Amino acid sequence: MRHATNEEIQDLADGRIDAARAQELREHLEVCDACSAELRGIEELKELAMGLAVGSDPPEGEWERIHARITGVTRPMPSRASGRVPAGGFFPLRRAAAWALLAVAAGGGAIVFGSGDGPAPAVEVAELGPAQSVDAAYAQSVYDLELIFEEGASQLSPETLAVIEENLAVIEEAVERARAEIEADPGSVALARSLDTLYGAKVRVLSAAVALADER
Amino acid sequence: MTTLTDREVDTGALVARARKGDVSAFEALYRANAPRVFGVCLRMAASRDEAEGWSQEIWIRVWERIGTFRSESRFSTWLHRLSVNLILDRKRSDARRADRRVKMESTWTEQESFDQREDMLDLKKAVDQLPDRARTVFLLYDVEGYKHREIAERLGVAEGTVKAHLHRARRMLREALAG
Repeated sequence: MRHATNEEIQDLADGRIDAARAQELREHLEVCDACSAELRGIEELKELAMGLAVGSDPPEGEWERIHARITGVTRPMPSRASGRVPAGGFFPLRRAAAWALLAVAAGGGAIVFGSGDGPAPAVEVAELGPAQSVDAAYAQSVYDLELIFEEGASQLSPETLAVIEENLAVIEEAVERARAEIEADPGSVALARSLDTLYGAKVRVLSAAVALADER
Repeated sequence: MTTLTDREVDTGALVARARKGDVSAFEALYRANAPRVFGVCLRMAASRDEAEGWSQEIWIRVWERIGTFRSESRFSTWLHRLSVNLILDRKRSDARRADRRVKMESTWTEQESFDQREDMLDLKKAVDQLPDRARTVFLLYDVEGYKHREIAERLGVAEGTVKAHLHRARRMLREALAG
């Protein structure tokens, strides 16, 4: 009887061969050391491979980051200096940005993010004024997008980078002006809406920049 | 008649609550399943950073889609498939970015404490050295338990191609382990 092909032996090991041919092959294997060694090698590898299917502790702080995204209220997080942004996470960032816009449009911000070195305490947004709510709602999205943009900026041409930075500078300047006006009138809903619009523009510019860098 | 174990009943109750927006129930599901999800991510990723990004993204997607989970299937099976689908989507889009290739680094460090057998460590190192597509097919078939047809559908290739990648991967691994 002819030797079994490598494909036939693989199929036999995987149980992907009809019963009649399997029986023929098994009869051949009983008298053929080469073919039976081939089958044994594949079966040993398959058995060893099953041992790879183990779990692994998730990264520290993963739940806190997930929690922040799905609820909009952060739990204590690492400071910006020590925090790491996972690669390939653009989708949730866009979701977060879109969510932030929705949250503000619905009349209440939700994300609260610390600006100091220490972890930020979770704060209910209901305690905040309108402008603070806007700040809070956008903080996480802008923060994430800025970090991702910084990472991907080198992928962009100097001309593109210049246009993006120019746009961001214009928006930042307008944000500063709005903040100054809000300081004089902290309860103003109209000023809070202006700030909301400006942050929305910043999120859109940063999202577009991240998408551009992502395509390169 | 099929009877459910206590764990399955618990999971079912948690899923039902999570579907209604109960974050604490979702956290319990996360705590129970996060190691398994991250394990898949680590096996399939080219780097730990990539695995971390995928893992977080998977859980956001689980939260968004838990309403589509049908209770007749096991939650762990549904979660595993959702995880693998997202990972393959991400690998596909990464492959299109030719200038963004990530140098393969070992992603097994976290798993080594589970099994220090020498042959297992050798296998892990050898898997890391496989060409990307062969590695993906080997992991999906021999580790994650997918069928040829399912892998072919997810990768958008013919079943024969999957088989060829699998054979190649096994041959290379056996050579590496024998050497």
